[in-house]
Amino acid sequence: MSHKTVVVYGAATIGQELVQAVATAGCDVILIDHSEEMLKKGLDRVEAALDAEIARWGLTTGEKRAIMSRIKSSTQVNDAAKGWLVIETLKETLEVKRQLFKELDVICKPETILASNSATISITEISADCKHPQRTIAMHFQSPIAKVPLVEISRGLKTDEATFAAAVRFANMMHKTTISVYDCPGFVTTRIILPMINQAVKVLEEGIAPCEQIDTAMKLGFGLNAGPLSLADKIGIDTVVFYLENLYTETFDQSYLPAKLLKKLVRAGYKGVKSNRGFYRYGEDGLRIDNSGLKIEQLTQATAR
Amino acid sequence: MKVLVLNCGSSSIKYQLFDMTNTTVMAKGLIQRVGMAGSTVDYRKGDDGKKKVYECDVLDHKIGIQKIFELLTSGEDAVLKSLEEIGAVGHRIVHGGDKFSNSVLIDAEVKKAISDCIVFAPLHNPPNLKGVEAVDEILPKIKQVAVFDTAFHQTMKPEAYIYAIPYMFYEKHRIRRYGFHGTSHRYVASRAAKLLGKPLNELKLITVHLGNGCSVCAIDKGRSLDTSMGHTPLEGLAMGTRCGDLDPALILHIMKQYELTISEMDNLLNKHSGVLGISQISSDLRDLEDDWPNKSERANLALNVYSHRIKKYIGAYMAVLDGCDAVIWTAGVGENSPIVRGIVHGEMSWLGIKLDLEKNEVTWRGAEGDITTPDSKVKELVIPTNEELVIAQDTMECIS
Repeated sequence: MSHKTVVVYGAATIGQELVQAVATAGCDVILIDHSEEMLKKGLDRVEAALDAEIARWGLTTGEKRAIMSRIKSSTQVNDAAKGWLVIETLKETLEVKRQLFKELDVICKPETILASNSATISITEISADCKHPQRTIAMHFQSPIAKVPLVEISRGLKTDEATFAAAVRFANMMHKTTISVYDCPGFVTTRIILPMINQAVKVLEEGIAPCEQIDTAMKLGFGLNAGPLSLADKIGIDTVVFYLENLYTETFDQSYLPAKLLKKLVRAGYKGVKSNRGFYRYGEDGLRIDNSGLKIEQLTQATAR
Repeated sequence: MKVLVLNCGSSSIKYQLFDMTNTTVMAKGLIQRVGMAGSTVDYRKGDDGKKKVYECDVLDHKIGIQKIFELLTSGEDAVLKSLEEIGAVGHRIVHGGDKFSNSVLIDAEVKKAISDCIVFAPLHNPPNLKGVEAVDEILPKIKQVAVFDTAFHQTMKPEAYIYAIPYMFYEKHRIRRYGFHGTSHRYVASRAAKLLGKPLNELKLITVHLGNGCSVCAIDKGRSLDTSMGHTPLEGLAMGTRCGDLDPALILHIMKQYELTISEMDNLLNKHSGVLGISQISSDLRDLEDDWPNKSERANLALNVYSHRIKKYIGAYMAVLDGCDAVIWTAGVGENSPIVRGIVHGEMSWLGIKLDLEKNEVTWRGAEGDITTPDSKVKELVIPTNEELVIAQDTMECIS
């Protein structure tokens, strides 16, 4: 075991991006997922993402080889013991995360830092069943991790100073700026962006403007990289709903009550980029198809079907 | 007196121990992958002893330097009985801004100045400084000297170092041409004076340093008048992977068209350009010269662009110097590429250069000498550079 090795738990989108970013920063990293298939898919995606970077001149082929050589994968939870830091990127539900933390707490040495990438669940709650909660912390990396130079850190009520300091050092080593809060689900970014996405969906529902115009207005008007609907597609509409529900339970603030259309889309399996359809349609390459925004006049049919 | 020379990069440490009583190398080597998994330390006794490679964890520069001290004083290849034999440590420091025109003894103020220059060389000055601090911690009493890459070019006049952009950038942020490879340009110039049998202050020289980075320098009476690298080492000649001179509007155009981020554009210009970018074969000139000129059209094009840019600078610097006694070729490609030297000096007889084709072919692999015909008005000298030696000599001077 090396003090340089980081473990990323969960091979879905955020896990892939995180593995790529950690290995690019020069650390050895083990990606763990119970599914062999997810691991293979995850590593393939990491490689594809690096190739895309090379095509955009962001990386050289030599650098890619070095990055890939730092990445290992495993289906064994026990391999989490090999890292000095374990970052969990599982589904945004309390039970799943709490169960994993309980397991990791036993497997890993007491000084190993256990971090959750959760955006909307209290880290204190996630680590409720841990014997050593002082080493748990929330580190919210935002997608696309390679590009977003920010990590939000949330200390649980039992998190100690050494754990917090190590998390900040790790984020800085990855050339990220950190902001920190005390046990606040939603941190700053998620807390503020969700009501905007929710309002954008309502503006669409009410027929005030079509998808493209809503996104264009917000992008150009406020200098955002992506409009709220396209952002929802990227985050995953199911994840947006999880986030909203978690924050509503946390705050009882009406602005976090999910817009009806969001839930309808999730039920229909229109989860955004990952399912090739959300507010827009996407090709197999994940690129948005032109003029594919959900049409307001088809909404009733599309959602009723 | 024994002097240790250190060149601390972001993930490497080059070192050489000199015995200055007879100017010989006692030991030298390189640590790679500092701060990463799988670090290696190599060590050789003497200038050309057998290289030994050790694998060990080198987590930071201090641990690396400690390892160097350990190898120098213990084991079968030890060259020192104790560290107290080392009289001083000389460091290569990349950027000294406009504060240093000479090598200096390091004190708190110098350290602060090196740290102030981090903004000019964010990749180089921090590890340089870490090296200084590590030695401070291990041998608190030892004298340390900073030898700057930029210092030699501080003799440039404003017309050579001011960019034609709003003057505020110079006044407020010290944005100007600094130039690099100063230690190498200075060394080969003084060596050329010896070979030419004339005092340096009577000579007009153009020195061409072609390594991983490439730069040309116009030297009048031993003083740098102009140099091709600028505020950063990206300007000037086309290099292995760096673009060198470029229409600045292209940067804006390409970033906009391909929606590139600043870091992607930075990579494009620094790592994907130069002869690698043109040839798409290699950044190493040797790969392009292999089977020249039959390798491929693109390999030839890359070599021609590379050489043409050198020719242009030589011509320009002849005008800046109002004459030229000799052109000096140094560093990896300069010392070892008769092909590049041949392309550059084809059709330059009007400027007084007549290459001796045979001498050009045989002067490489560490050979030193004139490669022009006896009637050539301007001489062409190949001189292997030795930056470590200059750093050791400067160190001796600064501590005496």
